Amino acid sequence: MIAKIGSKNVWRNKGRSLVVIMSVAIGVWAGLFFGGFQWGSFVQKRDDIVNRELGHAQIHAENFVDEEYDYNFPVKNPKHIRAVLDADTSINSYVERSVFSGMASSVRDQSLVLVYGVDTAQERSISSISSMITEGSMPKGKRSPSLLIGSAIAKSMNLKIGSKLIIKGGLLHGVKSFVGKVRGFYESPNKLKDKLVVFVHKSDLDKKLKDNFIHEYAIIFNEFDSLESRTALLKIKLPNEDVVTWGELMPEIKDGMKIADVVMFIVMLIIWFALSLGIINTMLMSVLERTNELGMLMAIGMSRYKIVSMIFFETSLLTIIGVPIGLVLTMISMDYYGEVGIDLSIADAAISEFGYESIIYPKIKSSFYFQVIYQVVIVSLISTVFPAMRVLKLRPVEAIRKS
Amino acid sequence: MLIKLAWRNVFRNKRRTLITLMMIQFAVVLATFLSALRFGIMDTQIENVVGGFKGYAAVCDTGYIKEPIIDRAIPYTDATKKVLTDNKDIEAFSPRVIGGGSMSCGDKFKVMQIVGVFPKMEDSLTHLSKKLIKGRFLEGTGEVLLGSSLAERLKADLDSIVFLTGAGYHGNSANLMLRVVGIVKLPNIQENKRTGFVTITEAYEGFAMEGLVSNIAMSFKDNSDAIEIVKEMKPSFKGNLGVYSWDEIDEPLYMLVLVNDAANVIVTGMLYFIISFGLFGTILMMLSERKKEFGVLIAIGMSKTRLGFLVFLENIFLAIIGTIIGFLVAFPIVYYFYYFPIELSGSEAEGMIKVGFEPVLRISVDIGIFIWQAAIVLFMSTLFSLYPILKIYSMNENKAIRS
Repeated sequence: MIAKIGSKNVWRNKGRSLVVIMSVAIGVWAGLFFGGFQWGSFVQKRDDIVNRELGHAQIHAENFVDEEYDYNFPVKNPKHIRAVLDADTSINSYVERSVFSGMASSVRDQSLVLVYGVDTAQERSISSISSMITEGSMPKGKRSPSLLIGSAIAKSMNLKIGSKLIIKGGLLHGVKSFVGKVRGFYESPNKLKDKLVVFVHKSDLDKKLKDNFIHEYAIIFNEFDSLESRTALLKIKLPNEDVVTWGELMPEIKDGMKIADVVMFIVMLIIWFALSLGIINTMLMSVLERTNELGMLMAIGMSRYKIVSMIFFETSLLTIIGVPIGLVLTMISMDYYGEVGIDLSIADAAISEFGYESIIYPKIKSSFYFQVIYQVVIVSLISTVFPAMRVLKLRPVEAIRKS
Repeated sequence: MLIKLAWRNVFRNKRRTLITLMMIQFAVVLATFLSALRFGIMDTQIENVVGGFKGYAAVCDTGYIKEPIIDRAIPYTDATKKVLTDNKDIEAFSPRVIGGGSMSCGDKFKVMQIVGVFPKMEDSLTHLSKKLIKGRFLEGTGEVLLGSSLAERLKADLDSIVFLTGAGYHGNSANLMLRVVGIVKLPNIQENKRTGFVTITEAYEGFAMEGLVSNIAMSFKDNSDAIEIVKEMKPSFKGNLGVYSWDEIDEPLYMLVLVNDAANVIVTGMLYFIISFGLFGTILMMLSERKKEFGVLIAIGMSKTRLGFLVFLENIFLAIIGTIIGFLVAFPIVYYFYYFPIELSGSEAEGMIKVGFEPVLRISVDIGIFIWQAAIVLFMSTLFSLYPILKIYSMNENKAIRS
């Protein structure tokens, strides 16, 4: 019976009900969209770094990172590591790299670089290097090793295809050097990397430096979600090497998300506060307008409890209608923006200068749907407490006489 | 007459006026709070990156930013000094010789940067002496202050002797033997890992560059205006001298700020959207409540134009009063969080500390934020005040009277 009266009440003033329904819908949408925006930009950054460069976990010699990626600190027992990695069924693929910091000098300029000696065929399991090439190519086995350099380095050092570079590694503990020829330029989404990383074929490097060093193993597990526990297991199997997850290598990205989460929480709190104000205001109005009528209901014997539950029913009904509308809005906008991306340079044209990162592809974690819906429902119910309290204070005799 | 009437109407129905005012007021407070928080977090981030050591602006050679090498030094002349001391916006400045090299202590090495400073000037800029965690501040030659992570890395303690080998000016080699007199904890983790300070006389001799400095870092009385102030200063530096603000010195940071600003626009946009539903709700409610009254007024001969204008005026009054109240209420709230910032705990806090941030969310008290947000809410309320005019125009007085 209460449900019947409540639902009839809701449709008596369509404009007002629509305002509440739309507030709830927009609340759901705003919450999800903003969450998707934040999560999307994080996932994008993470995937760029994890899938293109780091892999899920890496293995180095124990003091390699401490010694600033020095050439003279390769892993001690590559055969053993290879055996362990090959035996581990949770690993999808891994690559071996010779990575070291070095100084690249041309006739005129010099610049600090990070040399990546890679096996391009192996690398394809993480990301294809050839797809980043914007000019030239990277042939293997030439007399002077082919260098693939970031277009940012090329610009700052005035390098052209065919320029020669002397690359020195092992700056701290015994210099090793070779001369390479620039045969290609690349561009990656990570502009900082483009200023630093020089690719060379590992086989060419080994031929020149004659050490056959491996400095880094980048590992991709079958599942991203269980990488922490898998890495911990690897640590036990390889106690003499430095086994780390991508998060330990790039704490600013991983922990950056935690900070973003806090900010997100506060922003959501503010948004929910705004939503609840809208609901309180409208429901309060609807209750106050009906003082007369509610007084009458009480006078003819309807209990306060029933009236309050009627008010709650009204809000619940409006919320139940609003939530799916919000979800539909979210799906439509996610479908569109998830595909096209939100180009932040609309807000500030200067952003476009920085390239890729200015376009954000929003993405929603499925757990987030429940979280937001649950929060909206709580907010709308809490907002009803205020108007309901007004009802409890009504005294039927006075209420009836009010016009 | 209309104005008088409108003013009286506003106070006729106290309950409705109060609810509307509350709504507008909260809209201003929420929008201001959200903006202030986001700007505050960004300011902290900038402060964290450039405030500790790099400075909000620097005078240097025009090629120094792209290629920060010791050969791109500039003379520290009385003329330059005068320009900087005469500028009223500059709070402090510090000329520095920044050289690189490898520092050794016992059998430990580290590639690092050594900064030659006038101790007093550096202290007034970066408050370096307050960052001492061990030992004392620089007093004479032959002394060095080390960043705490650097000291740890080198296993150096007070009174340890360290050697620096690096490149001096114009191909000279720099060799310094120094005694550690103090250990400082620099706020930026990267700098803390690789920075040491010596007196400028030591650097002049060591790097063979008497009278030359790498850059002159500075801070302003109001650092949030750094970019504008630097723009005004540009003409006073000619030839190979230039002055650059933090956005030019640290491009990735600037990009971060731009992206954050854009995200800010999106988030506040969502908040406005939700707020506008609340505001719209109050307008709708007002219309439905006063339908009869409007019908009567039209029936007794008031023109719809005048009536529409009357209602518009009422709403404008409400909007102005509400905005002013909101503006006034926002101040103590924002200032409260300015003096007692939100402190984080748990894993979020740990994450922030790891990346070198204080686990505190600061809020900005830039007066511009208050004014802007109030103006935007005022604009929105004014926009919504136009709706009743449309409604009154399409009103059928016969039906309205009978409602």
